[in-house]
Amino acid sequence: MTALFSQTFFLVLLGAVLFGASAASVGAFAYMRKRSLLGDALAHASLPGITVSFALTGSRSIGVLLCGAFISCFFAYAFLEWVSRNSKLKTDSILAITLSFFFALGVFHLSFLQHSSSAQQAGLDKLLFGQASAILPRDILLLIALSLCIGVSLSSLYHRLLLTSFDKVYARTLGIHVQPYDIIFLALSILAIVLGLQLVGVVLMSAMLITPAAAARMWTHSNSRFIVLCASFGILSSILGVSISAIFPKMPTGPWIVLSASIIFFLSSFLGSAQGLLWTFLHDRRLTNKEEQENVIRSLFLLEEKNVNACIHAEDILRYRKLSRSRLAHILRHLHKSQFLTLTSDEHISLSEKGKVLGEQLTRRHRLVETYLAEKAGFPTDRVHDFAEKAEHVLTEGLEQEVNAQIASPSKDPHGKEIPK
Amino acid sequence: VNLQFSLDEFWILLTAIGVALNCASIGTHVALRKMSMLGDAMSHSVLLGIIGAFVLTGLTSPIPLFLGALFVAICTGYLTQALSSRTGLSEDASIGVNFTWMFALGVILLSFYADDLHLDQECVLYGELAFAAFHQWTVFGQEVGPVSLWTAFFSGLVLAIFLYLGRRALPCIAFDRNFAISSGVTVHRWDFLLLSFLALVVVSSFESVGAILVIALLSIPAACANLFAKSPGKMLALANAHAIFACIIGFLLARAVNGNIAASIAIVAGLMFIIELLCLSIWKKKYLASGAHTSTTQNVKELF
Repeated sequence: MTALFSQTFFLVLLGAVLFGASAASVGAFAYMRKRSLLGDALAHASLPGITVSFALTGSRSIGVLLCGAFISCFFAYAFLEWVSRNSKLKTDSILAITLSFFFALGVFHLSFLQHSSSAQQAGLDKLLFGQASAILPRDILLLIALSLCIGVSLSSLYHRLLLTSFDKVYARTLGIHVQPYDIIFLALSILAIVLGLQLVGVVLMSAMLITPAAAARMWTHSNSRFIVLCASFGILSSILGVSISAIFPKMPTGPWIVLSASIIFFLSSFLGSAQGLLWTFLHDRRLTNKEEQENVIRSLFLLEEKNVNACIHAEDILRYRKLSRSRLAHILRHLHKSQFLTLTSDEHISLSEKGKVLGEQLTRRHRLVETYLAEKAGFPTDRVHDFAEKAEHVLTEGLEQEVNAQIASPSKDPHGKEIPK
Repeated sequence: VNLQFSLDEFWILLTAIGVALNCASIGTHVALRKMSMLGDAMSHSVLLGIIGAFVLTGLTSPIPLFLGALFVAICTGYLTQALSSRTGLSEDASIGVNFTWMFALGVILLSFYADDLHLDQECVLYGELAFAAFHQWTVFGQEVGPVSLWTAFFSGLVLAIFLYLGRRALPCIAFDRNFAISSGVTVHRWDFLLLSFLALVVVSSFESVGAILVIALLSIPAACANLFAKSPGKMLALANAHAIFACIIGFLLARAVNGNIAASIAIVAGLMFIIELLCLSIWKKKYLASGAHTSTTQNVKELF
């Protein structure tokens, strides 16, 4: 447990947290640009830069290697742009080509170095999978400084970057030059990718960009909240990953950071309040419930309309609606509780005043839509019912008046039934 | 160049070509469906499949590990699609999320069991084509060639049958999905089969050539062919021709400078693509400048 409180631990933690936050915010913009996998391709493309700069300078200082990586990422991006401008290939193909070609260059050069030179290059391939435990304190200072740089540039250019990420045409009409921002964004993403090499490595780097953004998307549709959430998820996963590998010394840091981010993502995809599965499921169920209840009310209304003094039983409703007996009983109980209908002792069902109002409203909407479809949209009369059956539940007050105005307040629907006022 | 091959080198080259043909063939269809990066995802998640199969069964023999890898690769495909369709996540983000957690979990499990399994993460990425010949398949006491060559051969055989049966349905689904549905093509079944065969090819190839060359061979020959081919059939043939060519030249290059064979094949394939695209764009520019196209426009105008 002493490892938990050592000075190096805090330094690594600080570096990882700052890096996690800045990479995740860069990833947020990449997500908005729909270019999430670009990070994956660029991360792989950094390898030849690392090997070449090592071969040229013979130095293993991280600054030199990262410079090389930065340059080769730029080359990879230029290659990508060149291919997409000169061919009709799809983005996914181009990404796969760039990724594999540049990575192969790196691997080839690495194998060449391994055969020809001494064991000097040992450690170079550690960048492939990241090795947080081997980071030197001065490297961490570099990591911290550059992460802060990314954070500061992102926050100072926030509005412009947002505009140019979302809608280039609109940004141009506002008089913003889009291209400089594209280049700034590219430079920031490459910087983030290159910084991540020591911590999480080439292969997993893309997760630092993509996963927090994907998780944040599950919670919010607002942009500012999205980016703040991204950064917090990045920070949280860094803290978890670094702590786990500090408590259990055998554990690799990078993969644990990525796995923590992924766990956050899966929790979010389930619980998220904007697009999460659970929320979507509940929302769908609420809609289905509402529709079923309204259908029962409308059936009752129609039955009473046909025969004012009829004794209506549950059986009568079942003739109109495809519901199981127990389901109908449940709905009736619910409607009774919210005072839409009255149940007498011998199981006669009748609508209450409140229920009549709702039934009338639904029927009016149903028949208005039918009339509209037949008169204005040219539907055959026998096919308007199914559509109106759905529309009656979703029509709002305003829309209802709009439809009514369009067809000049008719009194009868296409089937000759009266439209309630 | 010394063209005197030893038997081992012959086997290596043959294995590379076998793998390349498989990858290029399925790669053509994968590219038409815009799923190239899914191949990338699968080739990474294979690591989890192998280690997961080992952890669950305790076996180190190749067949359970192969099945584990295949299962996880297919799951990657389905999880990616399910995630993006259920939660509205964009497709590429969904790919990025899934393969990274699988790879990360694979690396973590590997750190526990590295001593028991003769596998390291570098090997998953680079492959060990150079050692392919050492691992011979023995039938009735007779060595009949490298195991990886036979794996490639058998999966190639099944793949060929699949591609023959799907020669109409697959391009049809790729170009116009709704038309395919309305013509009664069982789209979902073909989707599943394509995904499974992509997984099969990735898993059977990656052991010998590594994840990166798998992606290169899936995407680059198909992209080269895409520049020229006018029909899916021609594209398939062209992609295979490119794959064979890249293997031979790449192998010779690696042999000449004593480099990694898989990487060298990928580089040759990439260079071929660059040269072809360069020539094509220069030719197009000349064609536009020479005014050859204006006569066609005039011809069309005369028609009306």
